[in-house]
Amino acid sequence: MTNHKKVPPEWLGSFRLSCPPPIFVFIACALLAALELLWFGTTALFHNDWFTLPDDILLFRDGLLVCSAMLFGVYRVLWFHPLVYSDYLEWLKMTPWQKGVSLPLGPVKLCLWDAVILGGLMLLLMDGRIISLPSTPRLSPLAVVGSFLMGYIASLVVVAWLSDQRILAYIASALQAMTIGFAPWPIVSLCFLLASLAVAMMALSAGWEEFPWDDVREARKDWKRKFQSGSAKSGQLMTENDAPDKIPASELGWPFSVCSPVAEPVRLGQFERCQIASLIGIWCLNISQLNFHERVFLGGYGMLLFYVTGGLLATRLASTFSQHAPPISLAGRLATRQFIIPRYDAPIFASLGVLLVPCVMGMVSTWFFDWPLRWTGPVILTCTLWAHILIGPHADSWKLTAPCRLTAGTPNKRAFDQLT
Amino acid sequence: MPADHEQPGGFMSNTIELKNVTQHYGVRPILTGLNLSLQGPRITAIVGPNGMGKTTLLSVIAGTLTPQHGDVQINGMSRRQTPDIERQIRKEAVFLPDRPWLPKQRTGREFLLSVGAVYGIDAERLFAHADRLFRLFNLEKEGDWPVRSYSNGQQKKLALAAALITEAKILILDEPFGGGLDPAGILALKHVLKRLGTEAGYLIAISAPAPETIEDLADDFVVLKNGTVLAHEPLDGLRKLAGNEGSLSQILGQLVNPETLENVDHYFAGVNQ
Repeated sequence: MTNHKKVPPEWLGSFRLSCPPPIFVFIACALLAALELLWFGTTALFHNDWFTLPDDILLFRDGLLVCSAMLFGVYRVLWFHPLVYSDYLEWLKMTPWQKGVSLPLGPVKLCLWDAVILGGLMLLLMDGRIISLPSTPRLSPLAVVGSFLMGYIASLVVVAWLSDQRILAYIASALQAMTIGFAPWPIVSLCFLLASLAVAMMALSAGWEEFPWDDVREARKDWKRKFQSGSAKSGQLMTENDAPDKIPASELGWPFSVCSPVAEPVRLGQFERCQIASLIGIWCLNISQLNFHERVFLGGYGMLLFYVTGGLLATRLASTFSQHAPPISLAGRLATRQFIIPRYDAPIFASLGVLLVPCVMGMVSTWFFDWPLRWTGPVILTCTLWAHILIGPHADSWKLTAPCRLTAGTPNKRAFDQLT
Repeated sequence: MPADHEQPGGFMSNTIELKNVTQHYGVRPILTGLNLSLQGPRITAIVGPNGMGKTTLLSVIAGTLTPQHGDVQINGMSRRQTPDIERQIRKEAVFLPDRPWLPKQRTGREFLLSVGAVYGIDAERLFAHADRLFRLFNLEKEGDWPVRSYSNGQQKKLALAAALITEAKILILDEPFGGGLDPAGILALKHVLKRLGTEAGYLIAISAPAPETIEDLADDFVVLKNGTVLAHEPLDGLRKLAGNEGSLSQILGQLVNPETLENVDHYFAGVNQ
């Protein structure tokens, strides 16, 4: 047996793996050093009671440290979770890896060395400079931990959603939003942050149980690999003879599109889409609790509602009219002067129904009750999204149930024949 | 779980069994009703012309592809039966694809150690084995460098080392001699595989596009043609079958592509006209 190195303890190994790549550390250190030099330079040259440039630099430096902590939180999940790194996942799926065995690229869960790195960032933030102006607000060192956890939890929410732990992902995200909403009450905010972390960790743990995640998604990936990716990374599964099978669904046209081997994106159910709409509302509601002026909400929510509603309406109307041929097309109706054909216009009425929701709710809340927009804005936005999701018929179902002839998605039998 | 049966040589027998396996991509059949039985210790080479399904066959054996029909058994255990059995199969049989994944930001040593940990190898043994593998492939100096700094050949060596460090007794290697491996690496790998096949009881399935590289290495050859097994014989058996005492490439030319020389004559006939 050759002389070999002594096995290092596991806690040391986790540092080697969880530490950010040297290039990132170098860039952050270089930026920090440049700011320090700038600060010393400006202090030496210009410092006096009225000139605040050095303290602006100090604030920028604090912001950089807090942002670094948040990026580190994101990095700790997205660089280590196999779901985000497809080649890594494909490789891991060939091994006997299972929950409880350490991950080859490093742990996703928090480890001791994360605390060491965060401690270093906190120390940098805590530096006691006697030269800075007393009026300059300095961030609390705890902001480093908070921003790290916000980045870490947000990334965990993403991977939890991808690993089919969607309910837990929504709960964790909602609790994270409340952390922001209750920021003026630090203890309550901290409780929400910890609760959010706990739920996100539960989702992560539950996600490992499901490894390698969703056989359907794998099957879709297999199809994709065989039919779409040309010289596939995992072993030349594709030859030129398979080219007809690469025809995308859009070229086949409906109804042949459903037979296409080319994977379509996963479609979410109505209930799930409502959950996501609610989550958007919860985030807006909590961000609204921050100490902005009411005029900010008037402009912000006004624009947001205008663009969201207008976008939804335009999309729905465009998809409806693009499927109509004369005489029920837009031009045909203008020519025949028959603008409304009730039997054929269910999607148009549905679109107008969606439009009514924000208009009516906005008028009622503003004119009759004078409720503050920081509360009503998120509610109206959520209800508008709900209305869009729930009020049908949508294009997919209308293709199957419309009493009139629809032109879009004309069957492309020639392309389909290549597949059979 | 079926128990391994001991062989006269003193080690447990490792087996790969394919029964009536059909694998097709869309409308194009690659393997059709293929039956194959491999029993270790031995080195079996899978040979055949391009596009005849060598990689597909290895991927089916390795479990990265699930055949539309048929059954794949490793050491008597069917693939994808239960999670526990599948994990056990993965511990006993390791697959090295033609272009394997490597973590570019980690060092070679980190990668080998983490692969060993995934396969549940004892840490002390793992460290010693990693050192021996680095020495075997002349990577002692590069072992602590990030993988991204490795040349193609060095990456291939590291991937081979990662397959060997798992201590799995069934190795499924897709074109292990390709990918820029230098002569010293080829020599080392050939000797290692030979000794693993004869002294350590390994069952090794290899695919190789160039027959010369494996002629003196493999104990028997599986010749694929049109998605089925044309022959599964040792070299002498193939010689008898082809009625040719020449090299493996000549025998394969006669068995699989008898028209190759005719095509060459046809080509030059056109040139001379």
